Amino acid sequence: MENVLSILFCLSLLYLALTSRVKHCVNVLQAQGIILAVINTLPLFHHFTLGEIILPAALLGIKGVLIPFYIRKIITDLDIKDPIEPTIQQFTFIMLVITLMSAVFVASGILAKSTEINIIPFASGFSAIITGILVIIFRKKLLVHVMGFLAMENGIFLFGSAIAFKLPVIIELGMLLDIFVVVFLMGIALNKISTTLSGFEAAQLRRLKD
Amino acid sequence: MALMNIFEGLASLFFVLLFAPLFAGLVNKQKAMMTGRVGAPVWQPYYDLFKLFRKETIRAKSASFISGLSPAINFAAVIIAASMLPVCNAHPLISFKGDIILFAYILGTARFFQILAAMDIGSSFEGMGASREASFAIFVEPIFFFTLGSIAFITGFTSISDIYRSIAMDRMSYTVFIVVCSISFFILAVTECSRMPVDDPNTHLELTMIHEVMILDNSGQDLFFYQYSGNIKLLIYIVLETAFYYPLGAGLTAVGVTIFALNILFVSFVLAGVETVTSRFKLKDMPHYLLFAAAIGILNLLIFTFNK
Amino acid sequence: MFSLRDMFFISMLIQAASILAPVFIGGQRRASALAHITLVAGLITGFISSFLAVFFPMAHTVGTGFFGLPPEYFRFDPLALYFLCVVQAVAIPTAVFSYSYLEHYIGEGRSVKSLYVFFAGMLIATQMVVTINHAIVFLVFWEATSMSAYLGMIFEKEKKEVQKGSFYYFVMNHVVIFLLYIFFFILHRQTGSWLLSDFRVVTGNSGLTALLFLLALAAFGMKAGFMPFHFWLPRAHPIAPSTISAFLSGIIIKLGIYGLFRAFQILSPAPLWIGWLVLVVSMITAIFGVWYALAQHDIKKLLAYHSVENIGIIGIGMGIGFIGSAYANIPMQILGFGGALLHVLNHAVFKSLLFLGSGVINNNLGTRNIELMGGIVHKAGFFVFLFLTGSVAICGIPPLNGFVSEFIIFNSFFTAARELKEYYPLMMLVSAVGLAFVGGLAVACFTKINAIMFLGTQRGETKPFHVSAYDYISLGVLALLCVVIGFCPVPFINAVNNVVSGIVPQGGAELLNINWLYITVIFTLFSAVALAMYFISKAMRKKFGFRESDAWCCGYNRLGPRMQYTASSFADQINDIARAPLGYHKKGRAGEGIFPPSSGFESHSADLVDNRIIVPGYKKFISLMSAIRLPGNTDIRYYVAYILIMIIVYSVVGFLWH
Repeated sequence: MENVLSILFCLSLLYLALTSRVKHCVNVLQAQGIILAVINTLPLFHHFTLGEIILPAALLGIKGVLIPFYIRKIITDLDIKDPIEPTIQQFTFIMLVITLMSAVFVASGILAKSTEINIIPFASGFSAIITGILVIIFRKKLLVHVMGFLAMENGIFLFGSAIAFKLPVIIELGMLLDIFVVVFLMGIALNKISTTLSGFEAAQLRRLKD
Repeated sequence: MALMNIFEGLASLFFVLLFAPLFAGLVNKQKAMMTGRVGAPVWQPYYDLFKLFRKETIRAKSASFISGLSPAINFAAVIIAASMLPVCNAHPLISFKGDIILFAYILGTARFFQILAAMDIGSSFEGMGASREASFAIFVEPIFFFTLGSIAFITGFTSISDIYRSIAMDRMSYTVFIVVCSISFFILAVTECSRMPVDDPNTHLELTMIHEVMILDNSGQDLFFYQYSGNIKLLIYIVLETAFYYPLGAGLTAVGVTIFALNILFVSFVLAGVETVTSRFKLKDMPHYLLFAAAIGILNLLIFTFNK
Repeated sequence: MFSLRDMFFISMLIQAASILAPVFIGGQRRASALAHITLVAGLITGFISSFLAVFFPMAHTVGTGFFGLPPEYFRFDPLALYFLCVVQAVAIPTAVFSYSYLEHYIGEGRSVKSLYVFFAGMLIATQMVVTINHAIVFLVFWEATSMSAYLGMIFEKEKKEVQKGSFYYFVMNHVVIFLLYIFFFILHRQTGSWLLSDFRVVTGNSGLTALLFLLALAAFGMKAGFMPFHFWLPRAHPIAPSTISAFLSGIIIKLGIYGLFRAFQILSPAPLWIGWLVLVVSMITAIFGVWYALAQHDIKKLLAYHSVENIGIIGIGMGIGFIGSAYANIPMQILGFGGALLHVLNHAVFKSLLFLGSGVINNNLGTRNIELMGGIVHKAGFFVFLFLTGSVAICGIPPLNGFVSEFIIFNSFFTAARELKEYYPLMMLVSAVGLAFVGGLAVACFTKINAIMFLGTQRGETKPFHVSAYDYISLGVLALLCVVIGFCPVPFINAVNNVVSGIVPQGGAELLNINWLYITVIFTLFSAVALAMYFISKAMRKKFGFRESDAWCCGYNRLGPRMQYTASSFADQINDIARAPLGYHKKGRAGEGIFPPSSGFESHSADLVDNRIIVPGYKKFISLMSAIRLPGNTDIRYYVAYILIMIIVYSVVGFLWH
C-alpha cells in the first residue's frame, strides 16, 4: 500500500514538473500532503497508539490544509498571474527530471543491497528533493520557488518513512512547524517585495542588493 | 486444434471489421447524451460509410498516384494490425514471436502514406495537418513500447497475444503496474485515434484540426477507406486497452464474452466521458502531454523493476 | 573451372583495365562508354563469384589460384566475402548510373576523365580493402580508397564550398590512418606477424585490449561517422558528385564497420564497458543523426545525416553483440551482429538508391535546396516511385528491407532482456524505445522530403525533368533489391548467419529461428490486400463517377505554388520540441498593417558537435600552429628540408633505442 501511494506521489511530482499553472502546483502540493498523511497513518493500522496519531494529523492539517490555503491567499492577495514562466523548454526540463529520477531509482536499487531501506518510498522521496531543486533552478516566479521548496520537504518526509529507524515524533513535528514558519515568512517577504517591486521574479531580486 | 485457432482468428478479425463503426457510433451517442443532446443513432457510422462508398470521387488537380494508393495501404495496414489482436483472449490470426514490433511498425506504414497523401494536395491546410500528425507520431511508438513493450521485456514474451495472456493480477505490485500501464496506453489510444484532448473529431475549423484536415480533400471511396480504417484503428486500440483487464475473466465462454463486452462498453463510456469534460489542448502543449504519458510509463517501469 | 581467388583477380584486372580507356581514347563519350562497359563487366564477373560464395557457401572453393601472389595476403573468409558482395552489389548500379551522370557533365563541356579514374580507383581499392589480409597492404589500400574518394570529391574544385567541405574529409582520413598505424603496430609487436588473421592479444592483458579497442573505435568509428566524429559526413557528401557520395555513404563508411568487425575478431571477447560504450554512443548517434537530418533543407546534407543515423542503428546491433560477447552469450552475439550485418547490406542498397536519386534531381533542377522543388511526380512518376521505395525502406517500416534488419535488432533486445535478467530488461526496453523513436523521426523526415520534393506543384522555376534509361536501370535494380530483401529475407538471413558463425565460432540458429516465413506471408498478404483495395476503389470510381477539381482552400481559388507548405514549416513542430539540443533557431517577420510589407520565416539548425567542438577546436588549433614561426614559413622547399631533418632525427632516435 505504501508503494502504491509512493507511485501516486511520484506521478504528482511529474505533474508538478509538467504543469504550467501556479494553481495546479498548489493542488499538487495539497495532494502530496494528503498522501503523506495517509502514508504516516498506515503503520497505525497494525499498532495503534494515540501519541503517534499526532504526526499524521499535523501533516494533514499543515500540509493538506493550512499551507495550500495560505498560498492560495497569497495568490489572490498579490494578484499573481497563473502561468509559470520556465527558463528552459518544458521538453528539456521533463527529460532532465525523468533522467535524474531514473538515476535515483537505479542508485537506490544499488543502495538497497547493502542497507535496510524500502526502495520505492526512499527513491520517491529522493526524486521529490531533486524535482524540488530543479523547479527552483528553472522557474522564474518566486512563489513557485516556495513550492519547489515544499516539494523538497515532502520528499524529506517520505524519506523518513522509508528508513528503518524511526525519528522521534517531536522532531518531525518540529520540522513541520519549521516549514510552516518558512512559508509564512516567505509570504510576508513577498508582500513586502510587492510594495517595492512590481514583479515576483527571482531575476529581479538582483536589484535588491545593497 | 490448428484449425480451431484459424477459425478463432478469422472470427476476431471479422468482429473487429464488423463492429468498428458501431463502437465509434456508441462513443458519439454517449458523448451526445452526456452533453444533453439526443445525438445521432448508434448505427450512424454505418450509414455514413455506406453513403461514402456510393459517392462520386473528387480529387484535387494536383493529386498524384499517392492519393490513390494511400487509402488502400491504410486499409491493408489496419487489417494486418487487426488480425494480430487477441479479441476476447481468442487466438489471433497472426501471432508469432516478435509480432509486437510488426504491429507498431505496420501502423507506421499507414501513417507514412497518410502523411504523404495529405501533402499530395499541395494545400497548406493538409500540410498543417500532416506536420502535426508527423510530430505527434514520433511519441506514439515510444509510448507503445513503454506500456505494452515493457510487459514484453519483463515477461520475455514477444507476441501480443502471449503478452496479454501472461498478465495475471495476483500480486498487488503487478496489478498496480498493469493499471498504470493501461492509463498510459489510454493516452496513446487517444493520440493515435485523434480523439479529444489531442484532436477534436468534431471541430469545424481547418486550422485546429489534425486528422480531419489531412483528409479534407478526399471524398467518395477514398474517404470511405480512410474513415473505415480510422474506425477500425480506434477499435484496435480499445481492444488492446481492455485486454489489460482480461484477467478479470474475459474468455471464450458465455460469461467471458459478456465480461469482454462490458469491458468494451465501459471503455467507450470512459472515452465519451473524457471527451465531454476535457477540451482540446493547445497544439504547443501536446508534446508535453505525450511526454507525460511516456514519463508515466518510465516511472511505472522503474518502480516495478525495483520493487523486489 | 576457376576458383574464387582466380575469379576475383580476373575481375580486378578487368576493372583496372577500364581505367586505361580514358587514358588512351581521346573522345570523351567513347572513352566513357568503353570504360563503363569494361568496369561493369569486371564488377559483374567479381559479383557472380562472390555472390555464389556468399549464398552457396558449400559449393565454392577458395583455391590457391595460379597468380603469383602469396595466398596468405588475401583472406576470403565469410566476413570478407560478405562485404565484397555488398560492395560489388552496390558498385554495379552505381557504375551504370555513373555513365549517364558523366554524360551530363560531358554535355556541359567538362572533362570527366579524372572523375572516372578516381571513381573506378575508389571501387577497386574498396574491393581490395575488404579482402586484404596484410596489415601494411591494408593500410595502403585504405588510404587509396580514401584519397581516390577525396580526389573524386573535389571534381568541382573551383567552388569554394567544395574546397572547404572536402578539407574536413581529408583531415579526418589522416587522423584515421594515423590511429590505424598505431593500432596495427601495437598488434604487430604483440604477434610478430603482419597478417590480420594472425593478430592476437595475449589473453589476460585487459589493459592492452581496452586500449586497442578504444583505438579501433576511434579510428574505424571516425570513418563510419559515429556521433562525435560525424562532422565530416554532412560536409563532404553535399559537395561530392552523386556517384562519389552514393558510394561514400553506401559503402565507404561501412568500411569502418568492417574494420570494427575485424578488430572484434582480433580482440574478442570485448570488455563489458566497451559494449555499453558502443551501445550508448550508437543510440545518441542514431537519435541525433535523424533529428539533425530533419532540420536540413539541402537534400544531400539531409541524406548524409541519415547515414549517421543508420550507422547508429548498425552500431546498436554491434553494441548488443559486444555485450553478448562480454557475457559469453551466443544468442545475443548472433542476433546483434546479424542485425548489424544485414543492416549494412540494407543501408548500402537504399542509401545508394537515395543518393543516386538525389543526383538525378540535382542534375535536372540544378539545386539541392528542397524548398525550391515540388511537383516532380507529375513529370517523372516512376522515378518518384523508385525514390519512394528507398524512403520507405530507410524508415524501417514494412514491407521493405529496412524493417527486416531492425526486426532482428529488436529481437536482439528481447533476447538480451531474457538472457541476462537483472536490470537488462529495463536497459533493453530503453534501447528499444530509442530505436522506435528513431523510426518515428525517420518517418517524419522522409515524408517531409518526399512530399516537398515530389508532390504538389513546382516552387522554383519550372524546368523539364529528364531521367535517362541508365538512371532507371540503376535505381530500379536497387529498388528491386529493397523489395526482394523485404519480402523474401530467408536467403539473405542464411548468408548473414553464415558470416556471423565466422565471427562467433560456436554458432547457433537464432537468426534462422525467427519466423521469417510469417514475415513473407504477412507482407504478401499486406500487398495483396492493398492492391485488391486499390483495384476495388478503381472499379468503384468507374461505377460511381470520378472527377478532378481544385483543392479546398476556404473558397479561395488561386492556390499558388508558393502557398504550399514548406519543408521548414513541416519540420518546425518537431524541431521546436528540442530547441536547445538541436541548436534550432528561427527568424520570422510578420507583416502588419493594412498594406503589410513582405513577411517571411526561416529556420536553421546548428549541429552542436560541429559548432561547439569541431569548428572552435579547429580554429584554436590553427591559431596555435600559426604561432610557431620557423624560417621560410611560406616556402615549400623549407618544408621539404624540415621533413628531411625529421627523418634523420627519427632514424637516430630509433637507432639509439635499439
